Amino acid sequence: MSDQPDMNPDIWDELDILASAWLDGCLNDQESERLQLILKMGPEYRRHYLNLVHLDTMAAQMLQTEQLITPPLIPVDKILKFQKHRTIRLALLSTAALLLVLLTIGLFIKSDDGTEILAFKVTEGSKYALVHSKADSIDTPKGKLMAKGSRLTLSQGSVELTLKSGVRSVIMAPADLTLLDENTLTLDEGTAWFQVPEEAIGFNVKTKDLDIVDLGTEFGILAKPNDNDEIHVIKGKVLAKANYSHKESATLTGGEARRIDSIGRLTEIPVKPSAFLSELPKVLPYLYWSFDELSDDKLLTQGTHPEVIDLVSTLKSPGNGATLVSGKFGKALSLDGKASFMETNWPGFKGDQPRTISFWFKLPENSIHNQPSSILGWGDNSTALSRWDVILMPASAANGNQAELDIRRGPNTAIRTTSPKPGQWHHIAISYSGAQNPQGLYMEQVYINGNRIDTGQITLVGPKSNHRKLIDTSLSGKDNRMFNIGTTLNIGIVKYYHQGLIDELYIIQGHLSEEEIQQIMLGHSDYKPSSDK
Amino acid sequence: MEPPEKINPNNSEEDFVTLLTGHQDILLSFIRGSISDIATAKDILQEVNLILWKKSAQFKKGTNFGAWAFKIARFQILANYRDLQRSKLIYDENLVTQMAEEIEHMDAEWKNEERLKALEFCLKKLPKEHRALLDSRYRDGNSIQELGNTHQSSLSRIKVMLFRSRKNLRDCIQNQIKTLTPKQGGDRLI
Repeated sequence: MSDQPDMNPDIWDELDILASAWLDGCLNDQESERLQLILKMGPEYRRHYLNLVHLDTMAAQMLQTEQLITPPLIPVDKILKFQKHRTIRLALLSTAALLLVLLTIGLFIKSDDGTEILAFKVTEGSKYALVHSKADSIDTPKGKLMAKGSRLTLSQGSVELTLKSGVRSVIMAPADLTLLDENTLTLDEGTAWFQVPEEAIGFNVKTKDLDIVDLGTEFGILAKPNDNDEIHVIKGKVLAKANYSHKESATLTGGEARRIDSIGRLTEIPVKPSAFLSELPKVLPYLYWSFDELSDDKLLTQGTHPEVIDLVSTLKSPGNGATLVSGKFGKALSLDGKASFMETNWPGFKGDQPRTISFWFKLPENSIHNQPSSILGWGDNSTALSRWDVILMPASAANGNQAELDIRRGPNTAIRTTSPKPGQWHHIAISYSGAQNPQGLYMEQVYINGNRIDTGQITLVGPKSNHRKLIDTSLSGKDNRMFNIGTTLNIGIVKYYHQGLIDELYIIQGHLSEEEIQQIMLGHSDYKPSSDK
Repeated sequence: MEPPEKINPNNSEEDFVTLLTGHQDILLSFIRGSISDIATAKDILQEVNLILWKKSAQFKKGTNFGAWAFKIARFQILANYRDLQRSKLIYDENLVTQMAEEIEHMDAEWKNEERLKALEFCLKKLPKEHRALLDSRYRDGNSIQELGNTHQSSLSRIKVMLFRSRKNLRDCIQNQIKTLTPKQGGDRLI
């Protein structure tokens, strides 16, 4: 290190070696004593040592998270959410010692000592925070266990719960649940499936809108913070009661579903078992278009996301401008840039939910892009942060006569990088985690051909203040569009259509690492329907 | 004289959260300087975060957040040492205190954006075998014993290989910072 003063150079070398061994936890007694001795010799040694530790820790963080900048370990939005929460758990959480653990993958641990009443496991790639009501106590659960008062928030992925009573549940993110006791769970947010054995009849789930008491059954709950909750009974019997106003209650049997309305009545809706997962999936929920199969004007859509069941992808092809042609793998979708596109009935991911899109992309050789064209996206274009789409921006002298890619959040908010050159296949992936970097910016990570684009090569478009806010993709604004490929989201103005080829499109509910993106690019990941090519 | 302004989490959450998030890296590095296992260091960081959050109303705006945070981190490190009495991987209390004093001088240096950019660049440029070793150590979370099994090498050889990988990374960053900030004495940034 060049900031070392002129002292015995051997000591600096020795310090480097001992510090490295320290970082690997493999010092012996003599080495440990020697390291301490050197560190006590003067502040310059301690600063040098701390520099080494810092550098190694940042490298470890980057390698573990694939983030350019280390995101905060503590999920600040969750802390804020804790304080703002309206439920009775606020008092419990604000006065109890809290222990937050952010983990991604782990093992299912069995409880033996009786204090824990729930064990859980998560899908690979899940991100969650676990809060216990008794931190620093011998009763504090360790590992993936919950006791009375434990709260689990899941920002991406899914979790399978197993209670001591035998109740099983699979819950998809975003989710927020608290275990009140061995027979009662609150679910403030989440898409949850429950299976209750006979010996656990009476199991109770409380959402902000509904109080659900099981009478021996299998059921699903949609708990949504800014919308009305739903109960879907798949088998058996459930007692559902509204929490406010009319406080209507009903005993529902298999095949029945209700949605609470604004005055506390239970409105009949079609039961939708497909909205829930009953098994923990191997990977994050995803949608996948291979562009290999077209039946009439409908494209095959696959994946593990529950909404795939009802998702319809329709090709709009005036003048036969949208066709399936030879692609990167099998066939690809070809759009002529005139009036063709693919539309769906899927609204997209809402709010600031972590997300990743991954696809192969080819522009026609010698193509001229003199106007913007929307490659794919969804959302509402009426406000600064309410849409999420990928746009090809035209080449200009200012950008070296090369087209650029925008990841747009609104009419004038985007991040921008250079587009790959025409005439060749390129893999593009964009992943959003919802984490803020130290500059206070929320930025997607962009990968081209599996390589992360450095932030130095990304330009912020629009007011910087917009980049300091979480994205807030709307699914219901006045200029809202469902997910589509190939046409602009700007309703009401001139539409621009995309010209080019797209293949192997994935939309994944969660943020992925560089390694995972490379695996998908190479076709080596678990994000692949088993029957597919 | 007016009493110092206090941050109340109910109406100044953003101020406090900004300070808290802005100190995550330096706090983690400080803790890891005294607790070598990175997973344990992260757990302690979470404990520190929560204590800071609970005591946020006591923090006086305009005073030194870092000093306050390091004091709590130091306390948590020593509390964890009580469970590690027989370990070779603990320091005496005075040394932890001395490092807490030093760390306050490192803050600005460590927040230098060029340093992070250089780190990212150099991780990509590391020789394949060095990068693979660091990946295996940190991304996959392997201990050096596990690395020894994987590479069919002795522990001492793995120690040397890791040392060389880290040194290579440091040298690259030092050169890179010199390139990025030639007029600012970039070599002091490592």
